[in-house]
Amino acid sequence: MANQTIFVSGLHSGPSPSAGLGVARSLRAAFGTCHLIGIDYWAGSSGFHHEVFDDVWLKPSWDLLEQDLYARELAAELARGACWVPNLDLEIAWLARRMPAHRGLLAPSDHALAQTGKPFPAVARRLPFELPPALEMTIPDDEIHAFCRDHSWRVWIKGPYHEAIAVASWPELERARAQLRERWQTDRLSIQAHVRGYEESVAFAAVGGAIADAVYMRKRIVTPEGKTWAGRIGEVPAELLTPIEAAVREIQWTGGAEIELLRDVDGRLWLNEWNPRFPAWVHGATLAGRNLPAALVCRALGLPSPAARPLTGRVEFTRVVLEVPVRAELPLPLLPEPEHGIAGAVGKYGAALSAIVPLLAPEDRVRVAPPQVPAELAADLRDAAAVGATPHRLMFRRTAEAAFAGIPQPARPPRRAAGPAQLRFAYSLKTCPDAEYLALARGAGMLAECISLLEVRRALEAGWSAGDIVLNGPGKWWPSSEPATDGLRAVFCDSVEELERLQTSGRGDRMWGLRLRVPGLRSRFGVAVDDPGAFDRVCTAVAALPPERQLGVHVHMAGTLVGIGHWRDVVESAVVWAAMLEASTGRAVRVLDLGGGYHPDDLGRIPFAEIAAFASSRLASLNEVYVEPGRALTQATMGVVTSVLDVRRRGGQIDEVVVDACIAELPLAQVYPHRIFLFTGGRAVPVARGPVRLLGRICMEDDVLSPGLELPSNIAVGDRLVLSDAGAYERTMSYAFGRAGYP
Amino acid sequence: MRSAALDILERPEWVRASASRLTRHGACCDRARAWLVAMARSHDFAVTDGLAFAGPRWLCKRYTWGPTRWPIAWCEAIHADTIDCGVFGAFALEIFRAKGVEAHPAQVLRTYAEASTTHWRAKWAAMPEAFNWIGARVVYHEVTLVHVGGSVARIYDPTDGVWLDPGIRDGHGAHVAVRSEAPVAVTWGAHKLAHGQWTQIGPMPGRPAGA
Repeated sequence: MANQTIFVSGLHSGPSPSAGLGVARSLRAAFGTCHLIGIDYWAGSSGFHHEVFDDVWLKPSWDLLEQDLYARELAAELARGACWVPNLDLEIAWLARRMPAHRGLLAPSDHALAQTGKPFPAVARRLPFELPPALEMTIPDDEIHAFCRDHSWRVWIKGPYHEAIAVASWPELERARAQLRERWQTDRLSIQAHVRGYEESVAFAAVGGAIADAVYMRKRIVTPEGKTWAGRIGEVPAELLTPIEAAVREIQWTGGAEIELLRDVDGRLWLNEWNPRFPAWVHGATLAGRNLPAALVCRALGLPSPAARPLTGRVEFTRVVLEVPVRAELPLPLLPEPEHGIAGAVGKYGAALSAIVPLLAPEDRVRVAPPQVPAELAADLRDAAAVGATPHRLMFRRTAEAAFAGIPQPARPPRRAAGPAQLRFAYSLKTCPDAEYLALARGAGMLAECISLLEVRRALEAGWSAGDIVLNGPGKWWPSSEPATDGLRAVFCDSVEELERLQTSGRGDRMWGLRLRVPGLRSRFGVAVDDPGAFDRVCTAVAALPPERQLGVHVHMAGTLVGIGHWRDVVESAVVWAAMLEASTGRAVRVLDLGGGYHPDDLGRIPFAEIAAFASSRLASLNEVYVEPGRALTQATMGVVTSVLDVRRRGGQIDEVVVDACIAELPLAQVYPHRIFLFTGGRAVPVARGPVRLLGRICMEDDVLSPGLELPSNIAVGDRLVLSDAGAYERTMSYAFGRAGYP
Repeated sequence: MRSAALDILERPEWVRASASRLTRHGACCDRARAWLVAMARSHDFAVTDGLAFAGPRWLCKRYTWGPTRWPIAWCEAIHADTIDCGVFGAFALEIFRAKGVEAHPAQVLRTYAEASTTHWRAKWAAMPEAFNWIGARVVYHEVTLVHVGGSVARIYDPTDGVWLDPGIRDGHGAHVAVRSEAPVAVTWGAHKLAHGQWTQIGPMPGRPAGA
């Protein structure tokens, strides 16, 4: 090994370091006199300047690199007997495509890489790990939104090779998707559910499918970017090593690798990623007595491997920040001139690496599936063809009727004493106070849920009695000019002060209650109970209620915003608080009100009867559970028909389309995905996600109705689109901006 | 108490010590316990995360670790800003059991350097009614043993919000002995913990000079 030349790439040692420096230090530790040459593709790569390297190669960035020449240079060095240990994911993918197998090229083949790619690595079937739920992002947006709700909006958007961005809302998802698409120049992104667990890894070195050595690492200190700063090395447990060896053998892996795992507190191991190179912390394992890069080189060259050694006593490692002198022949790159923005100039390590991506997957542009169209909506869209002036909000009558038909009629007779509480559905007038909807709600046997005295009046005019009205919200007694109808079915107070005022009001409502602000939720509404003193105050106020007044508890957190699992946690938590309120005051909770905010597709999936049974098991006197479907009943039941005002092109391709609708008609256009249809030949055709921005008519920078649609090249001024999912708050929060008349 | 750990039980009260117990006044303390359990359910996210054994991480965010004046009742403990490891342990035990997890009190002896213990000793000296937990070579600390299936247990430290690693046996903060109050013998990593006995799991630190 005295004169063995070894090339090591990926040298930047920044906050998110590459592995090259650790690999080189480990090789130097094993082979003191070998000839180590460091390679990178940016002059600012800090590892260039480490004393471990005998020589360095600064190659052009990948957007300027002459690939044929580079392949020839690499082949010549391999032919001279050099070893090549690449440490950049994209570079490794390029090598797999471009270079023939060679005993000195210590990297996986294209076939092996294909078995380990995101988001569904085929090799996972061989491994004893669970796979986090994931999806390719080529599905329609409404299905992506459903995935996010299913996983309580704790998801990661992942690039095709590496990089992941955590998102917790639709606007965040749109930003992350745009950022990754820009960086990676592809739509081949994926979305993965978050797993709550400790980050751990298996790192190994293998040649021709045979593992030369492997270690386990548990992170002990993690950087804000989620990178390892310190860790503890251990042996790979036999129950993991055996299947990993089988998997490596099956895919004939060569090179370093890191299997990133998540261990949850119940003991399950989840496969996060299979990285095709050594981890950046690999020298930490060397310090613990297990030199994986040396094992790799020895196995590849047929040299006697260092005997598998037991770990030393120093199994924990940490990083430190060190300054090193810069090589005279490789001065640092100059900082670009500061730009106008407030962000400082930063190094651009890896900025051009994504130029490799089109070389790896030069196939056609990714096509995204258009949204599915239910039969009722297809029929409703035919009505949209008859709309005259635009923009025009249109009720999808068949869709609305189908939604309300799904509401179960109230049970007759009401709840038996021993059974679970009866479910009663309440229509939230704020989600659409139009007469057609009020008639549908009354026809479905729903109660009326109001948040102001004006809404109470509207409900009474529509035919509800006071005894069928539930009054909620922080400003429910507004306006003071309106008579405060007495004898309501339920009044839920938003503060202890409001409940105390109610006690002296002389009102004769059937039930009074409180909206709870469940601890752990960020909400401006309801009564806080996260402090024992605050809870004592709630108990005092409840205990003072007149004995003839029934007690209720209201909880509300929009399931469409927090996801189904989280919503259920909130509800179950509220039941526990209600039970505690009962126990502390001696007052029985008779009603539990579950506020709205459900996505239309989730309403039928939430087991309300099961939840009522759970609540009844904790609250022995519970009579009724009110369910407020809210936007779930109305969001999908309207569309805005709009006409094209302008078609803008760039480089001959359609770039932007301006329509006569705007965020005044669709104030939540950027808050959740809307299914969009284009009238073609008299038919409304669903439009998939694509490259064309859909802009609104008003002079507001944020008047963007869609960040990207797949629109035909012949779309023209006057063509029509329908922006669906425009009911509920899109209807009731719309405003008059940009029209002739203002309120 | 035949364990070698007896040798390092520097204070007689450690030998006799079992888990700290909060006293009960009456209804006020019942409400306090219920409040704690309700708070724990709100922070558990059991459906969202699908985890049975998630620990009450919120405790060490809400309460600061420090001396507690003993005895202390439930209604006083939940209102406190600062609590010691005995109160943390009592809270965690109540929370694990309320969600159906089999949990038991446990105690550990830990090694710390004088550089740390002198400061803690000064802090505790200001409250004579507080438990005397700091020795010359080791300190006494209360934790929660969680039965995860079969005879396997894990140990949760609610003061820091961490699960203890049975592989760490020496150095700053290492646990050199454990006492389990589980009614039967359990295994914790490679260690077997018998009911009510101190089990030595790591090397004893040397006596400080002049001790």
